[in-house]
Amino acid sequence: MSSDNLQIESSAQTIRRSLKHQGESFAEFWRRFRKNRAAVLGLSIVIAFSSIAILAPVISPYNPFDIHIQDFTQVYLPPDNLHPMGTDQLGRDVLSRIIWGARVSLMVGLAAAAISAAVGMTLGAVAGYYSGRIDNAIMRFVDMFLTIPTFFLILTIVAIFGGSLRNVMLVIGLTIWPSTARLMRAEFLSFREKEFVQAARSIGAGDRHIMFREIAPNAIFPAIVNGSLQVGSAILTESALSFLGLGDPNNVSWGFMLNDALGSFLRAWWLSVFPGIMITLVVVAFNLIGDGLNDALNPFLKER
Amino acid sequence: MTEDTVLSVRDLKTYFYTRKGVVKAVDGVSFDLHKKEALGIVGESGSGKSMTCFSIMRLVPDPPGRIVGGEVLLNGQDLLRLSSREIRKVRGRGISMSFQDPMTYLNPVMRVGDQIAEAILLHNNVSKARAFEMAVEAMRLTEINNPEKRAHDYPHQLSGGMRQRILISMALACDPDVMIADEPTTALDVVVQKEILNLLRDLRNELLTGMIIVSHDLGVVAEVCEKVAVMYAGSIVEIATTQELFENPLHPYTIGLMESIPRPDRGKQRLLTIQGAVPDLINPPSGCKFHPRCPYAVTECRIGLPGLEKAEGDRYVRCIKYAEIQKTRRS
Repeated sequence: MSSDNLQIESSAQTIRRSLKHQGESFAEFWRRFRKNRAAVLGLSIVIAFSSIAILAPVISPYNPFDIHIQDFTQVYLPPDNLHPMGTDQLGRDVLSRIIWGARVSLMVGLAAAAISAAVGMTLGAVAGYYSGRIDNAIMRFVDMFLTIPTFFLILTIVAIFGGSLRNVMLVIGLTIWPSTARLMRAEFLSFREKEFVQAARSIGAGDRHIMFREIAPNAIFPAIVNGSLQVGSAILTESALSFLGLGDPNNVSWGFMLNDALGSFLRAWWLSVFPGIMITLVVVAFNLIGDGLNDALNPFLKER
Repeated sequence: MTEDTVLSVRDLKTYFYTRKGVVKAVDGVSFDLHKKEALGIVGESGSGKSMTCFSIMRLVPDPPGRIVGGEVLLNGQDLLRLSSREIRKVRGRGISMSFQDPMTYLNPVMRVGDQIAEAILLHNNVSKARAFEMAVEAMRLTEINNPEKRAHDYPHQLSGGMRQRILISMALACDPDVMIADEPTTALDVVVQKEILNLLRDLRNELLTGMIIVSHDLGVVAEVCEKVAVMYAGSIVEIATTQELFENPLHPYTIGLMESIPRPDRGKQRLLTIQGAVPDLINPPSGCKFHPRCPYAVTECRIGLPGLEKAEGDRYVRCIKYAEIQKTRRS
């Protein structure tokens, strides 16, 4: 994990550097991003959910695990003033569970996307930069991954190793990286032929320097966009896993809530509708951000 | 090779292995660069002048290119025998290069000051802040106005002449023994060309031990260099001092080049050209590679490739008939 962290950190640095070095300030980037209203909406939603997730212990009105199973007056309560989203079959407050569930969803989404970015970017960069035999080896490995139905692979692994939060993050992250790798490889393949790489070589730069300092800041943008889309898909995957009962039973998760609501959809609509809305909102929000980033970062779409 | 030789290139051969066959881009190039000397390499497109420089720097793209033979001695050390780690230490510090197109040779997403600082950081154990200061100093050397401010600019914010100066600063940043300027003025307009040439001449007088300027423009080379090597189809056909070359070219190719320079002082007359085109380097002509285009060619020219013979003074020429040609031209 520690080496993963390192890689995540180094790619974060590269991202920061590329934004800084993009030829204009962050303000310029923001000006272009802001033009895309939908992306700004997406960003607002993500910021709202992040705040909710961070502040969960403070803002959640009840303990999401508080069970009132003996007290029949507390179960299946429809939304009212005391419980704005009602209570479930065990008498737990749905709003509190939604709030705590935001933590799991965002954490899984971001961590899985980060792992995928670290693995995918590194392998893609190496493949594209060195090409030849190394490229072949890595890309055949990627192809192998792409032939496996990812969701069933995740299901199998989680079923075998258990669905702890850490496992879920790792498994999702380690199965969705091939698309990032392919993107990075394509970028590196084209950038390594650029003249400025030749110029860097002429002043004595080595391979590592050229890969990380010269090419990476140029090549990283498609991967950033892809990363934000992957956050959304990782959240969906986690929800699906939890829905199938393979999530972490010790955590509240939106997918898990849907699973709970399975038997009582007609009797208590609020159990399934609210988590469903949340999942949709977050996933759509990350996709909108991805679109906005693409518009703002893609040099071919610039200044139209 | 004498005591004061900085760079000595001996029988350098760089071939490209393509699907159509072997392209002998550099085919037996030899020259010496002495201390405080500027050598110009001229030749038309595809004559191998840039590839000679890339070979000296060991920057030939491999595959398809490969340096197949020869020696490149920098202060007596053969660069072609160094490991890739060792050659990296030489690049930038022992020998450095500036390039033709200043836009594409600068990284678009890095501030120019940072790019020069990178070069300094690669060779000096200094802090980033110090490297940036040194980069600003290097920019000052190339007469960039207000370098402290310009260092924070990105390549696209600078003019072509300014970018060329940045590339030269980058090449100079680590105080190399030899600097190669590959087509330093090609992408620039005439006024800026003149400024860059003046800059190169000043630099050569003040800073550098040796300089190589590659150009297809004889005028550019004449401005800065005292010695010129003329390349044709991968080989040097003539080496002479600039003055001798202009006053009394020996090789038929050089003669042709001189005659094709427009001269206002000669009055109205049709400009002479060299007939034909650069030969196909996969199947070069037998014997002297210039013979199909040479007005003086005889049967012997088709048989063996003539060596680079020492002519009068410190001149070298690759032509078996240069003495006769000279006689007929004088009369």
